[in-house]
Amino acid sequence: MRFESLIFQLLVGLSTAMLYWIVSVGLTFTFGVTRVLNFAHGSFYMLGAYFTLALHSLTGNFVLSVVGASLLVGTVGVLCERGLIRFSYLLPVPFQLVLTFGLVLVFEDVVRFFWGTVPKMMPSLGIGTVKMMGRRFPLFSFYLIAIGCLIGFFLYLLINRTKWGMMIRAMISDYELATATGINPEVLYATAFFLGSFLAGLGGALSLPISAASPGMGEHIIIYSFIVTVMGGLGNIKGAFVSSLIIGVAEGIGALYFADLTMAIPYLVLAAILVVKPEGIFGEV
Amino acid sequence: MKFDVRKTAPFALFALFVFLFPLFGGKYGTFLMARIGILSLYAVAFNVLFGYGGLLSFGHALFFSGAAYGLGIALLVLDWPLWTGLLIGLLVTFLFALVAGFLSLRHKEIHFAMVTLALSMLFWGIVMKWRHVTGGEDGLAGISRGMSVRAFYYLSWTVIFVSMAVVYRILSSDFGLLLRGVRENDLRVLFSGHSVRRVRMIAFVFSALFTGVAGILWTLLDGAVTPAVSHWSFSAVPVIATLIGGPQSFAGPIVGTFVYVLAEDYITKYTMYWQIFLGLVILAIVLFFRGGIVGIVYDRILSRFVSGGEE
Amino acid sequence: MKGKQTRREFLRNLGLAGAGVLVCGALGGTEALAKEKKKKKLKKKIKIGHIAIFSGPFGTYGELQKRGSKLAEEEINAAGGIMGSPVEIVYADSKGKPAEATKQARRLVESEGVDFLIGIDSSGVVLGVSEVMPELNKLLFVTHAATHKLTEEKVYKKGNKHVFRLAANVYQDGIMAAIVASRLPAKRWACVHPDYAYGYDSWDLFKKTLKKLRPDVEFVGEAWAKIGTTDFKPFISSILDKKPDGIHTVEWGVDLFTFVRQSIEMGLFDQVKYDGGYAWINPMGYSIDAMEALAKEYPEGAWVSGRYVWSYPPTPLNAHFVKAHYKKWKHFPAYSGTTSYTAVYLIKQLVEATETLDVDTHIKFLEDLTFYSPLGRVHLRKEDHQAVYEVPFGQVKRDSKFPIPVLENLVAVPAEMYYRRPPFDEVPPYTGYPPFTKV
Repeated sequence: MRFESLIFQLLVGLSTAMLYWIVSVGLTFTFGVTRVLNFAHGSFYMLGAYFTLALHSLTGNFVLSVVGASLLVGTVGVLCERGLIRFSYLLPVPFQLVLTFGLVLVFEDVVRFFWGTVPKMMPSLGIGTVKMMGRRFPLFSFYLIAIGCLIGFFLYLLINRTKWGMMIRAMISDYELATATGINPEVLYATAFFLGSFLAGLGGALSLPISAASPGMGEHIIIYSFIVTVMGGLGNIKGAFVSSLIIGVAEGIGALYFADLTMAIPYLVLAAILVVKPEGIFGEV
Repeated sequence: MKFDVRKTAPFALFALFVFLFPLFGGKYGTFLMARIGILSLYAVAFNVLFGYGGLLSFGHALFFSGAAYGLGIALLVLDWPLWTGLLIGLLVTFLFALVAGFLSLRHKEIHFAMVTLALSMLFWGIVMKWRHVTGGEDGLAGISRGMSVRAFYYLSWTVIFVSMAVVYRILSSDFGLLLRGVRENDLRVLFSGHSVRRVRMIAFVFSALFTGVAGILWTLLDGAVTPAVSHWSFSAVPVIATLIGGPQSFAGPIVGTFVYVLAEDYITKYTMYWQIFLGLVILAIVLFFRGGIVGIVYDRILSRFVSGGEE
Repeated sequence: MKGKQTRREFLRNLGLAGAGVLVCGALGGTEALAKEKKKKKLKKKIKIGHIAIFSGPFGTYGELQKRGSKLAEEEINAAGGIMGSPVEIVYADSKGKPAEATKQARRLVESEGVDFLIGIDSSGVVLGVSEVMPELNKLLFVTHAATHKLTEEKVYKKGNKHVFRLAANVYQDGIMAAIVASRLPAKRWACVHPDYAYGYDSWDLFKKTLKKLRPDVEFVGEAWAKIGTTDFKPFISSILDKKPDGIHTVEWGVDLFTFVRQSIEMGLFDQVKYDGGYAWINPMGYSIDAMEALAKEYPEGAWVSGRYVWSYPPTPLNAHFVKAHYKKWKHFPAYSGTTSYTAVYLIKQLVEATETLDVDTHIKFLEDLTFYSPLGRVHLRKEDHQAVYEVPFGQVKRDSKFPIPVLENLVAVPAEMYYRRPPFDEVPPYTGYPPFTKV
């Protein structure tokens, strides 16, 4: 019986981890390409949720709304990058961080203005559950795990098997050489930002069937994303995957065995890893 | 130091203004002014690392709240006298600074910011969980300062002036030069026979200690310490204030704090949407006025009259 | 005492209630006195500062409170104000941060010149603000924050006389919840609580009271989820692992929405099903924000309450309030809105009866005062300045005539019987009290 509980808890932790992964891989990827750590990534997550709500009430189709909302958020991301963030690429890091922090404040009030402060819940999708080991497990969580793995797979293909990915890799490893051979960094920055914001929006959209949309949701996820990215090594996609898993599963198992400590678990794990491996699990990119 | 009228006159005027303020500022004004002073010290201490050392800490709330909790726990949980509370508060900050400095100074730039953020949030987690000692979410309320707000105003501004003078002295000494050297070019300092790591560490501890002083004053003024002062959003306060005022000068963080606190106080009276104002101001500053207010004033106006400034 | 009250009865009351029932200070036993002295006029308008959270993740809580105080302000001014002077409410955003709230309290009193403060949402904030009230020498009427530390420690033990609390406190979430639990067949109780003092205090009172009432129960599991938890699956599944047959949860706000939805999915409700519903006790479940968000989902038969539920007590006064509130805001009143409404009317009654703004006179008048409000018959205890009034628990029931679920099978216990009493070192039932199990 105890063993089964452990397995169950692991599965639960896994589905939590996938949401962290989807969001933080966007953050870490954008950082890898543009070297800007985007505070407003959490706001994009929030926008993803609110856009999905709006589209869902219009169309009534969840999948369509999720895709539409993520694309919209991706567009917002590009607009922010082209309109504001790109001017900070040559500035010292603190200015970049604070610039995106300013965006967070703006987006939070914008959402409050249009949607109000009352948290919004989407009507239940009625996806149902599967029975396993005498318990019920939400089917949606399985979807989430599947989506997370698919995203990992597509990102791998995108970065390793496409021309665009090749250019991105070239630019990360040797900026001078890459631009000298005719790669236009501006296009890559913009597209990278689109992808990163798209993933944040997707994360927010996928959080809806589980949880409510509220103006504060971005703040919670951005701190977790920071933890995950720092733990895995900034800009390191593989690292983001592994550390999402570690945090998600640690929370899952922690709820079973250290009920009292769950709040501090992510920070404790991060602190422990930083002491042992200051550069993150897989190092920085 | 040479006596320089151009530099001392504004300072003397400011000190006089602070001294006379309670006579015309009203009760609430006096309270707010005391708070501005405390936050100014917080920003000045933060700027030792940021403006002078080139290191953006996003976790200075750790030192602020470390001292605050040290004081609060000594007074309310252990029931010790006030002076031990002050000592314990500073001691806690000192220890935090050693540990955090050791862990975070292995990094630079964005990584440094993230590690300091993580460490401060770890402390936040501990504060929230260790309920029997820290009071958890509720914090510790009922810390007595044993005097009126006005009396405390004078006491705290005295401490603030003295602390700032010390910081100023340090920054204009050889060590200050060394620190700026580290910011501009690590290698040159290294070749000149100084350990970059050590210079940074000393600056880090100084910055943390004066942040701790601010934390103690804040706690005494407020009569309570709560997890809000250890949350990362409280680490953002000196960052924003410093950027508004301008990180490149000693007075920048002070000016920035005045503007930040007064603007917030004014705007929140009329609208619940005050964050958007702050956000837009931040965007404008980063994109167009990176020197902050002091930078603008200096570049556009003062530079015509004064030759050879401090920075 | 009132055991059950059907919805139909109350609806009749709603229909009967005229809009004017309350208008001229029907709040108290001193109304005759107030009327007689009405000739005397105040020189200045009465200003009330209302501090609540209006921004950030919990900004909705300020909004819910404002609905109540704004309504009271309009009603009072339309009926001629307080002793001939209008009343004005100044709103201030605490941002949920204690230091910000104390700053706002100082600003409102020392710069805006308000005569009273009302509001305050969370316990950390209220403990901080209570510390400055004697220094500001104004009264604070707490309309939301529920920590018993405020009344038991700050008021009773430390003698802070400047704070009164009109909202029911954590006794409702712990003790009253345990009384309801004791009537259910469940014997293995577990909890899922928010990870802060409110959760721990509620669970502690719940366990102690339930153990006294039902020595046969055991407490088999605990889960503590930090505020802002978006995924409760780890907690639900760890609780399912303990095989409880009763759940006590004081989750609230967004976290509650998430928690209930995921509990339905993962079968936590089915785990605690019994003949008459679910052994699921959620003292904050009948908060208006939760009921609106979960209108179609909150399982029927779960036991929920609030610090006031709009359908209780079935008095004309309450019926008038609910009607006026619904007419103005298109929402049913939230408990914090009702306590805010009560606070403004109490201030009216207070000023009219004492004809002064002297704080010491006010304190003397308020201590041991009994008055009537939409909350019912309220007694302000002298020792701890806590408003004593009962709030029922009931089972969620959907009704097509209402936009939100209603409560059925209401259970109410006289407040004096389940509020802790000075010196606050024990939980009810106290010796000499009638047994609780039959109400």
